[in-house]
Amino acid sequence: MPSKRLVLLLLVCCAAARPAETSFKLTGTAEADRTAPNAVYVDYTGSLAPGPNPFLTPSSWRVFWSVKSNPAIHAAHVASVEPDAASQKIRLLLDGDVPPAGASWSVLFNPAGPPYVLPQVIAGTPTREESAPEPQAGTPAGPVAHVPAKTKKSCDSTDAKQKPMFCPAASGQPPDVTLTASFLAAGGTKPIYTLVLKGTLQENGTFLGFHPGVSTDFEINQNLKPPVNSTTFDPDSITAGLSFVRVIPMLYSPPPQGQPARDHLLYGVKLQLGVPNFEFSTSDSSSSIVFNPAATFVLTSWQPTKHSYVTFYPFLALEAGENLSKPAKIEKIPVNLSSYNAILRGVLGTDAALVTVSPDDKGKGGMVNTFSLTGSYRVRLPAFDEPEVRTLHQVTTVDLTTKARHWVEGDINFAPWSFKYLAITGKYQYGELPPLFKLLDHSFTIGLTLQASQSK
Amino acid sequence: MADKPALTPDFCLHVVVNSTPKPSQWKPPADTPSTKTLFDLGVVDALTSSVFAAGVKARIFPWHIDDSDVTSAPGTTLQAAANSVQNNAF
Repeated sequence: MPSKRLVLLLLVCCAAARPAETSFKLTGTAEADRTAPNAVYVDYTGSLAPGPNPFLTPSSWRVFWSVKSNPAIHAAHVASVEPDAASQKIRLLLDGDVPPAGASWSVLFNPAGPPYVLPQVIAGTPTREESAPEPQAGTPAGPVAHVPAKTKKSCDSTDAKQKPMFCPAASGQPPDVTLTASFLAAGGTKPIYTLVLKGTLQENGTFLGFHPGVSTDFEINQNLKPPVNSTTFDPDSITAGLSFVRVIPMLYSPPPQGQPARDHLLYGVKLQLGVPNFEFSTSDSSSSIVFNPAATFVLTSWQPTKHSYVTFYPFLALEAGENLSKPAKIEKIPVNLSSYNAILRGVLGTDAALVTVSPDDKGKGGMVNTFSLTGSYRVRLPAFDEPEVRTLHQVTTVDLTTKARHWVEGDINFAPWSFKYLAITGKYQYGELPPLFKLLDHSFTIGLTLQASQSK
Repeated sequence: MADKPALTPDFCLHVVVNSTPKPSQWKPPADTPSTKTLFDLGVVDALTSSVFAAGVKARIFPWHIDDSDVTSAPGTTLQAAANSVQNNAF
């Protein structure tokens, strides 16, 4: 029995001694130091073993470089090696023939041994050309910089400039553009097709701190209920316009030295200005023009498990504008909407989401959505009389009131396959949307969604 | 004009961590920047990603960086995000 305990103790000691060495590895990325010339950083993971170590030996490292105008290869000598456990980087200080600004460079790790470690070549990360630091008196010429290599654009790239315009909605992000198609087939009726195109695309530039973009919400046949003997496309609600978006982060005071950082409930505010948006319904020849500044309050999410999260974003907006055209008849009923002119509404609401994500099967540390349940609620509070159209038991009534108009939407999105541009979607809608606020009475649809995110 | 702090890996990592919604979830040395992701620190969707990038831009002043140059996808490791700051700030 004592011998078994001794063997067990030896095994535990051996196991405890190994991980520090075996878990260490170079990640294959390196960056130039932007403020201390002639230094580069090599990324690693794990922990460096104490004592003599080939990774901390300057002679194990060389930096090779060339410039575009002259393909001859140069080598820079590594004078010293300094590990930084906090940021997990090894700092290489160069001397001699150091790379000038604009050079392409690679780091060679080739230790002499023993102990013997496999050599490794690490390409320098491309750096912005205009990012060269300001020249300072007494410092050597230019730091290490790189000429970005022309590579094929890929959604896997970490550089936004190397991505195509659209990528799958990955990493737990909702898509920027969606096209949902579904149909309902019932006995004795022709199929009812529904189509929804939603999107918000942003331009990279800014105007007074706001990012300009275009937002659209195009819904067809959302209001039809079976049995309907029609397959005509009937655009119900179309909203389109130029929008300006600005995101304001909350900058809390950092904690005192030695104190742990604190989390805060309010993380930021997203401001959106529509300049202006058009609301129109072609089936009823009604249209309005609306200016709608809005604010979304970004609250810190709750993460019940490692691969899921719950978000809750309150929403506040003002819609001000004017009715441009009003119909004389709605669903064959003569109406008098002569006092429907000015539009002023307060909008309150919230967006919530429960999302599960899973690690990317490409093994690059990314994450993809597997399941999401999102809910959205809006209540519009008109200051002036606006129409409200209700059809109950095949009887249509049109009121001109300032009653609150509610809108509830819930979506279930499931993307089980690897082609993340496509997802199965279930949608529930209830309530009234401008311009005529026709009541949509508990609509359920199931369909396929083609979705993509704009590369940013 | 304020003096520019040295754009060291530690500084960039500090900016990245403090720009996330949950900086208290960063517990070195048990946590490492190559394994901890922005998702772990509360950057979970497009909206929090954009607030994170705007926060990095504000905190790195007097250095400048474009929002689009900050790697801010939730699956990004802290190290990759800090590298994007170090490489693209000017």
